[in-house]
Amino acid sequence: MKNRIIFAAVFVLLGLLVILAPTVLFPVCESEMKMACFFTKKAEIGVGLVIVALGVIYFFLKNKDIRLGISIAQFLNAALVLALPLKLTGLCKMSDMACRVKTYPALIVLSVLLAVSAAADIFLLARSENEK
Amino acid sequence: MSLRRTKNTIKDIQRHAFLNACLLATVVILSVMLFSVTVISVSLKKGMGNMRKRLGADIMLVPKGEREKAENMLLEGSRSNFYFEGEVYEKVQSIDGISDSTSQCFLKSLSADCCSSEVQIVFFDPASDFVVGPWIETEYKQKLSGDAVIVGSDIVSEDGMIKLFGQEYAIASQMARTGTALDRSVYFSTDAKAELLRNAEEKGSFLTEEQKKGDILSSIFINVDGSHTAEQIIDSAHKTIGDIFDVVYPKKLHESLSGSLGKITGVVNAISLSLGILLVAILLIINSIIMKGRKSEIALLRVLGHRKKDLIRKLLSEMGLISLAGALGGSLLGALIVIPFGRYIGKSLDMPYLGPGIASVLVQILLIVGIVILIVFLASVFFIIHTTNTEPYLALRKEE
Amino acid sequence: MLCAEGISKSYKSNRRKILDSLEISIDEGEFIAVMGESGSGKSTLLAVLAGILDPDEGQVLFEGKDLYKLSDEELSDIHKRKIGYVPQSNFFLKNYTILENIVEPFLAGSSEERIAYEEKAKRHLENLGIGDLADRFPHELSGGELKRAAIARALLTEPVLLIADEPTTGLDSGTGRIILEYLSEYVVSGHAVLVATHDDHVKEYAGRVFDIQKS
Repeated sequence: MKNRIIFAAVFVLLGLLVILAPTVLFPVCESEMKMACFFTKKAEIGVGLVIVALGVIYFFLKNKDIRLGISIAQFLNAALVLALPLKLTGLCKMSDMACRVKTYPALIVLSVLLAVSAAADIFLLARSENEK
Repeated sequence: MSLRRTKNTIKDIQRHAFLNACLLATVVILSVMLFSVTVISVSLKKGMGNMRKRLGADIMLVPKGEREKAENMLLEGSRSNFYFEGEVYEKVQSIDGISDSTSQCFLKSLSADCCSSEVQIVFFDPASDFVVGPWIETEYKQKLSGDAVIVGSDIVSEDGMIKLFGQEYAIASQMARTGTALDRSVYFSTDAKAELLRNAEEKGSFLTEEQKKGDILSSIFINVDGSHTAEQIIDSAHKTIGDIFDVVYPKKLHESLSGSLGKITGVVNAISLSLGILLVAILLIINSIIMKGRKSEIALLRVLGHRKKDLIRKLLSEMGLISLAGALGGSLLGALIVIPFGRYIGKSLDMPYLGPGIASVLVQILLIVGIVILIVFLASVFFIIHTTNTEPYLALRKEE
Repeated sequence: MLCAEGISKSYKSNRRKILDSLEISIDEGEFIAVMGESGSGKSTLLAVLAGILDPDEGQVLFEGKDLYKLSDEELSDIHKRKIGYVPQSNFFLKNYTILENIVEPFLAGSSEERIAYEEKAKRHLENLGIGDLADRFPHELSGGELKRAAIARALLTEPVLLIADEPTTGLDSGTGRIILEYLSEYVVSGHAVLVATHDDHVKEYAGRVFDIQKS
């Protein structure tokens, strides 16, 4: 029960940060022209919403098998958070643009934190299954 | 420690979860702080070191009125255009007391990719150059052809080509990161200048009248020989080419930047030291609370037949495991924050900043883990020995 | 087996001598009750004889060796296998089960040894009427149950000398009797038991009474 609340809170918090990072906290480059980082921002908002939604669903689930599945999904979402700016939607070319200097590092940090949290939950849930 | 012993130690740590969690949190914070401060310090020093090498000339002559622009370009990497007539360099070369001299010409450019910002184009003479050369090493030895360039580390290219003024140029080599303005520059041999400017005009780029002349240069870098002073050279230059230039002293620029860096690192070190002392004090307090709370437990274990040295080893193992986990976790957390945000830190401090490579990070982590384990050990060993040396009956009696 | 001479002890907190030139000897097969009023030094004497409180003066010879001149290794071995001690208060490791508490000295050893001692521990707990509490934690047991668990712990390695400080104090007479009978069965097989008490019932089981105040 304690773990369920903690991990749900962590997922929701990290999901919110994924949304806020490219928009408010470490915003991407401002330009009238829609550059690569603009699309990355949109995609990250989408992924962030999914992470938050899964976190909320996780909170209400007592079934450990389904929660394990959600944590696996969150781990993959963490990979997606990183893959978007790295490969899929991309960022501006020059290394001193705002999206590269601020937004990208923030997304790296959030991706790692989400992956580590999800992995920890997977480990704990799998272990409690084995102990049964 | 064998696996079974490690498992037992972990179980023992879990049995005193709250206090050990406080200890772990303190160790993590200490490690994050140590790692971050060390990496930032080293990165700033590396950037400064590169800057000093980059500002390798005694004197830099720039067109009159452009000194501030030139200083900004050197220090911050802001892009600039300013020009002398080409013949000025030949006249300056004839001045007595100059050991080395070389010229450069600067041009701002928009890269064709709309997601890029401007790059600084630098035309330099590979034969006489002593400023850019040190950064190019083996690649420098190849003669740069008219359509090949050398680019700084921040120039991103997926296909080994860069488009400038509508023309594609092959990237002959990319320089390693310096943490300075060099990283955002593109280097051409002076031979390529005329053709590049022609291309620029053909593609509709706006060129100033000066740029259209073609035979232009932006700065002259001079090293003074041992028997003359910089002032003598400048006097001679005034006499030779007239009052058409301003003087930048690159090395003095570096000194003022070093001064700023010194102040920044001084403040950072003072804050870190204070925090470090506070954290060590917290460690001492937590250790004393832990040992006080475990006095009767240790006394009971002695009564049951445990040897003092086994108990000391058991307690040190617990401390060791907690400090290892905390130091490793803290260092990794520090790395997660400081390394991706390295460029941001440099930009915020307005300082050249060259982040560490992977090998350097790993060495740093090992060092921090070693230091933190030593600190935790020193903060706990007195309490551990004091507790194990207390007469068992007295400890049990106090508990009653 | 054990011979103590000239034992004196005072605590730093009050400079009053708790023990003053005491002498006592214990042989195999003896059940000795140390009696006296509260504050007369019974617990202090037992602690000195058990090797867990260094006297200011005197010596304690156990099997011919001075306990307080032994190395830490030798003294620890004696505590592990030859002298069992039951403290007055019920000290247990909070986050260990009762069984784990009893076999604690052997938890880190080989699994064969640990399993053998666990079986022994369970037998003692059964004999003392608390066999079903082996997997509980100390906070789940009553005072009487904890005291019996402490005795099982002290008897695990069949020490030649068992020292128990107030083993029946605060317990109901039924529980007290169970404990005293168990201890008196223990002396039959060549062991010795030394008990500090102000419970007169103990005299029924003890072969000798040592009045600490007269000594």
